[in-house]
Amino acid sequence: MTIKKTKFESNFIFHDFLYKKREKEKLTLFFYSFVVILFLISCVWISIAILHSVFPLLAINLAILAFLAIILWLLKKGKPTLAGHILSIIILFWIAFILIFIQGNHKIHPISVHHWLLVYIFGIQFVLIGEKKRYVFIHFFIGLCMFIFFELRIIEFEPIITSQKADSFSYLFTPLAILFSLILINCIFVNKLNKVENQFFKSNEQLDILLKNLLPDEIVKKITEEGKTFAEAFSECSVMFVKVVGLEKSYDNDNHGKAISILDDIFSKFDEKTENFQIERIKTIRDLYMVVAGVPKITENHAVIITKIALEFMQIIKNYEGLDLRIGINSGPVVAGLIGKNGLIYDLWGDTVNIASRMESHGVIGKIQISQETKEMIGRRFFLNDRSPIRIKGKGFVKTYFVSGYNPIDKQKI
Amino acid sequence: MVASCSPNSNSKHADVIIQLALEFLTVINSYDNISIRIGINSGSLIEGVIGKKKFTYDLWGGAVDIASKMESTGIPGSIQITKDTYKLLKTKYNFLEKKVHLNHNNHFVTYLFDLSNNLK
Repeated sequence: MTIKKTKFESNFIFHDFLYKKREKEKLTLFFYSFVVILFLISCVWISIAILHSVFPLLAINLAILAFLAIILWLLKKGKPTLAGHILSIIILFWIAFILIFIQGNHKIHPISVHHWLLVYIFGIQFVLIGEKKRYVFIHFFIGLCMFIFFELRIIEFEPIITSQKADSFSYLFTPLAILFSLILINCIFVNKLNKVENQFFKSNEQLDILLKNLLPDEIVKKITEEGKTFAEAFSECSVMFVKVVGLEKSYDNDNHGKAISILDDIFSKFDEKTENFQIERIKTIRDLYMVVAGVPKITENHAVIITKIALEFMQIIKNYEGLDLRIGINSGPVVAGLIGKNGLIYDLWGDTVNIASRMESHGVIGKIQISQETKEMIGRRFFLNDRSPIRIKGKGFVKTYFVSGYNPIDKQKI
Repeated sequence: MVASCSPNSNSKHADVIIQLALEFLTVINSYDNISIRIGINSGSLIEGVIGKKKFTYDLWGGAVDIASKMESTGIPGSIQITKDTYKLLKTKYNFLEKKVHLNHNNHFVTYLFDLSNNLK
């Protein structure tokens, strides 16, 4: 049996993800350009070696070419950090090779090429971004040791190729190039720091938006300041359950995607209304929509507000053909809070919630059923119809009422 | 509410979910005076994220409603499954047959996981 899966569209993209992807692409591009430059230089050296028939030089450059091939292969496989390690080895190799072949290493003759090692020491951290610190440190340490070794001229030797031209050229050119490289590295560093800081603020902002989307504003404030999950008891509030009736059959049909988009549309409109009235939508459970008034922001006339919203919802559903609502409301004490380790959902508990749910499930399609407790709180602001007592699990027979509309006399007071 | 197979397709979904249900029962055993009812159903469903605020991942479909019914009509401390799930698991575990009355005349054949003698 194969499991079919149909995908929904989504347009919520995390900047962090894009940032990481972009950085990785940039690093790869940097490697490619570096490899190309090294390849060209190597080719020049090989031709010199062949012309002057200096075989050690030829061998070393061929080895470098082999290393470059490995780097290209690693980049193709998508492993830029490993490529970075090999690149760092090549650079060390290269500096040592120039020192040994052109400049030599003796006390009287000044050498400058080994100052490239300083550039290497600072630059290696950018090549190995994302790698573990100790691995970066190994490269750093090798570079430093080599620098000390050449600077103190511990072992003196003559250059293999003695060319006055090349020697004087490298002697002049190297300090300038090193200075330029260090400035470049500095620029990269400052640029990177700015970018990271920017990115940090951006993703933090996004996290805030997400948190505010998931939780009531008051709760977001509390958890960001206190950093704990918690539960609070409220002595009075009104809970409402709204069930969308008429969609059940279309779930299992072929056009189930349409059913969900209709539900999405309805719930989005409900969300707008609850936001206008400044009350909290707790959650949606399939086609059930749960709202609470008076929690976490304490409001006096919570029962009136929620009944008013129920009537508004009834107006909204009239625009959808074949669909109707079944609404149940109850008032009383609840416990509200966030629990669980990773399920950060603000939820309600208590008998009040259970009875509100029963008000909905034992209700009548197209009607708003309220309990005795809610009836006492809303007073005479709405027209109510009595319903003969209904049996509720765990409570026995209870008296309930149907809300039929606003009481025009008291409408202005609401 | 737990679902196996979504969003990652998993061919052993029924087996995975029953293993999880058994784990849940052992977890709840360590608490006094609390027990859980578990109901399982297999079938097709729709997944998605809806609403403007507080979008949460949810599942819809007849199969989900039936699974919820399996829980509400179940017995505390036991796992009740439907015929569809039973078909996927009958070769592996032992089950006891049970009847659940829905209306006056309609009833549903369900199966209870045999906790005393579970492995075939």
